[in-house]
Amino acid sequence: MIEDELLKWRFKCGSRDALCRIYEKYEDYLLTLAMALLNDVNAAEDIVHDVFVSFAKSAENFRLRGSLKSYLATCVTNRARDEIRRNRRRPAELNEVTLASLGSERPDQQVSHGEELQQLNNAIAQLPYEQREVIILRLKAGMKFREIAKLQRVSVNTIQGRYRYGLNKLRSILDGEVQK
Amino acid sequence: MRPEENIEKLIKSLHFEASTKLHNRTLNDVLEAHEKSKKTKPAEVQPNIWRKIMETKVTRKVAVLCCIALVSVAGAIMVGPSVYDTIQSFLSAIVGQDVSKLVELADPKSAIPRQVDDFKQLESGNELKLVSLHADDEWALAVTSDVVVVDDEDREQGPLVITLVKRDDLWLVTDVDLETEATVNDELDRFFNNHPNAVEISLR
Repeated sequence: MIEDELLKWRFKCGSRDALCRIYEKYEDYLLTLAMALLNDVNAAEDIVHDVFVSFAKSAENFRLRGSLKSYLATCVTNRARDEIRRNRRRPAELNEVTLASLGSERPDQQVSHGEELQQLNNAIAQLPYEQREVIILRLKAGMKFREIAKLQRVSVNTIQGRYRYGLNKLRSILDGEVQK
Repeated sequence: MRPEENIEKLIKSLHFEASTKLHNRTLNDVLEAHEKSKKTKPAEVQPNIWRKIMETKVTRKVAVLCCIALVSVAGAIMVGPSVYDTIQSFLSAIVGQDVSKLVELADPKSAIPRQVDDFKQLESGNELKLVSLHADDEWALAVTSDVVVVDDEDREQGPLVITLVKRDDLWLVTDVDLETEATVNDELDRFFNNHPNAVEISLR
């Protein structure tokens, strides 16, 4: 936390080292977030790339009073949402692409390859996007329901509902797979 | 059946690592963008603007005229107390949990009409007082006394910062944020940066 405050300050002062440190500290975290939201390796990489490039350009006018981690997570979420809108991707299709690319085309990508986690990725991709976003932001980004509500511009109750419905659905999807 | 907790733990354990190729490519682009933004930054090293203005008679006169115009705008805003009335009505509606009034005073384009239920999280007994109000001819920012917000997760305390916008001669609330004492000044700074002509509205 204190490290982030120092990094923010040094970054605003134009420090290249601070930018590198921010990048190294949050690259994997943001990539994981983007992957969970989009389930598409290439799109996730592009988003993380674009978020950091925009962030680097913003040094001059950078003013952030909240948490750096949440700010970057919000940037990724907004871009992921744009990406979904732009391409109207279907989770099932994405998932096939992702699993294929994880398995063969991109041997350098290292994912937690446990079968259970792959099933989970698969199941998350089947959730409606709003529910997926709430679950990922809550559990992976550690954001509060209130922060997510502000981001999605709906009430906290709606967010809590999406979270509950999402988890229930996830559970039934995973149960279905286990029974198969 | 998988307990929810297990699913939550599993999601928390999701991890994806960037390839070395991606890492290097992005880092290069990021540093390049950073360098470029430094090179193209506006003339920060220019001498003090005020000194430049005072250098010649013409610019001095222009500055005086600008000040007069600014005072005129401020005067014009003071004529319209409706922003004050609007914010006071909004605060009363929050305290009284008057949902229809809250919706009526909210900008329909904003998220507030969908978030009115959140105001129920204000701890009862909260007395909402207007502490400051600043406005230009289109935007206004109000700061209230401290309130306590309680939800399932935690309990937060701080002033509400309320943004208003004027649409068709009508002031409407477009955003309400719970801030901390420390962040209120940032909000005010940001407002003044974006609305340099804003003036303080006297609280009657």
